[in-house]
Amino acid sequence: MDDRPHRNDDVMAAVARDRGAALGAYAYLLTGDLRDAEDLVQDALVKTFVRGRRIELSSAEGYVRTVILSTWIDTYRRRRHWERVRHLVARGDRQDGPAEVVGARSDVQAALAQLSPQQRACVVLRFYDDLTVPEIAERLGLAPGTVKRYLSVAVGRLESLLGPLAESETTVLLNQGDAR
Amino acid sequence: MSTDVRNALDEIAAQAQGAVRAVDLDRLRSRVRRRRTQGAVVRSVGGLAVVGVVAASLTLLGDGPVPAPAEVPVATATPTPSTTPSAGPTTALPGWVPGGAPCGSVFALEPVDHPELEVQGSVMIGTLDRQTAMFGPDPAGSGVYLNVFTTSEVPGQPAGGDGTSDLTTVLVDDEGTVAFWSDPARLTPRVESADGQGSSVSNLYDAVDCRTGRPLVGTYRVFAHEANGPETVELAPVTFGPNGTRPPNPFLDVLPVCGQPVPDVVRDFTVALDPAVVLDDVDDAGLHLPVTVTSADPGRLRGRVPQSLHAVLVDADGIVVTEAFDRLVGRHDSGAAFDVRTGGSFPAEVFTWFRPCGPTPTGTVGSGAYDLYVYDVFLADDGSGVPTPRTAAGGPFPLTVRER
Repeated sequence: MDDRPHRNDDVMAAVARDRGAALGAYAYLLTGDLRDAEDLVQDALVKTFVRGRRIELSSAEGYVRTVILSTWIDTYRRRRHWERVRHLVARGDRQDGPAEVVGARSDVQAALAQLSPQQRACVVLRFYDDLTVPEIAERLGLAPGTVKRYLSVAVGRLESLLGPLAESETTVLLNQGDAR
Repeated sequence: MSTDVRNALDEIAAQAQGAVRAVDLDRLRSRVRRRRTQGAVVRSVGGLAVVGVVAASLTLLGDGPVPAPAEVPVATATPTPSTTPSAGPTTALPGWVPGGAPCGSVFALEPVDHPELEVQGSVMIGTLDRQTAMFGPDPAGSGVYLNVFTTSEVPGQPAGGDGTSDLTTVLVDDEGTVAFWSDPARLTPRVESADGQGSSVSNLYDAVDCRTGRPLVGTYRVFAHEANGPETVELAPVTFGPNGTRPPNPFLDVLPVCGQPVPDVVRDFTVALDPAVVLDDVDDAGLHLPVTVTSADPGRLRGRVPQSLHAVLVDADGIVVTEAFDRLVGRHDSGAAFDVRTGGSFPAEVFTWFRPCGPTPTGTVGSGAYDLYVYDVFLADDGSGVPTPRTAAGGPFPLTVRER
């Protein structure tokens, strides 16, 4: 008897139980909304583990993070139309997350909300995951030049809202952003 | 002082980690099980994979051929009795509790056009299939789906206000009295499909008169009011009954096709822009324009003005590069009607999101120069009593898109 699904289910449960909060936080950086983040993590876990493919516990979180990202990007159009269809979606009011407790960081959250999903994904991959531009390009299936453009526009927009960013960050971008 | 985005993201993530709810393992396992089961079924029948929620959406949005409307009701600027009187008994069903205000009150239309937002959509009559959780159009159905929404005045721009929507939809009978309104207390509870793949849409109600509890019968004018604007508009009227209102046919098979030239057809109507409109700095999200539609038909044509005419962008090679039909928005008639002879005109609008052709994840049309073509097909009655599809087209209108 093939027990792979069962073993995968055990891995899934372990990832959900032990890394669910971290995955939710990661998703929140992209969505800016707690409920969206929770849904995104659920969707990503389902997508990751629905197939019988064997996934080791050590690499499972990485898989799920990748699926979180791709799901976020793939649903861009739907999010773009969110304003028009939001009343159709089965959920309550928006859950903006812990802005009130992060206080000093609510300015950054507000600024992130002004970015397009692609720009936001690039910013998270660049500054949170600490990926290089080629790595981001590979992760998102984009040309490196496109990633640079997204990052450039994103940083410009963030600076217009937040003031100058830390020097190392803008320097990285000015230096083509392809080295950590 | 500079902002350290890295540290900020770390702090935000750390705080979110403490705020996010634990993954619901039971629900997760259940979803995975259902997906695996469905996958096995799908494979066994040859790979037909349409999950309920998607099918529901497509049905609701009028994708695919649907019968033509049975009639072309004509609206006027102020509430007046409709040509088809509502025939519902006026006595309430035993035990029925009449709805709260504005149920039963005389509705006074005060059109308001907020400069930053737009109320769109329509009311659909149909039936909820509790097995599949799908709501299918049926003018004799027992439910109404309020597919009415608030969006920004211009695609991609902020909608103003506080970003929330407080939308009320009312159906007004032939005496100008509110017979139905979107009372949150009477929303039909959402149901989940038996296969667990989707749930019914929100904004569903029983099609009953809020005063009596009896089924809605006849024709009602429809108004929508967005309090967080404010904006008040009249939407297309609805007629309940076997020959009542069905969703407008989107005529997908005759719209411009991605990757091909705009079709060259006989124009029953020509569409013109206001000469003052300049399109040299258009947002890459889309546009919203007033247009004038002029009849080129030798006879008299009557019908209902579409809420928005379709439009596409065409590149320098003459190829269509954006989708003509937006499945997420669907097709809706407006509260206005036209009745024109040769050379006669009526106002209309183009409200379109630029949806690039193809499954591109970036989802935006590139900046640069394009030609805008307005191209639409809608029903008009030439007096024969049988509305037939007529083509309205305009363009090319040179346009320059800038990336946001």
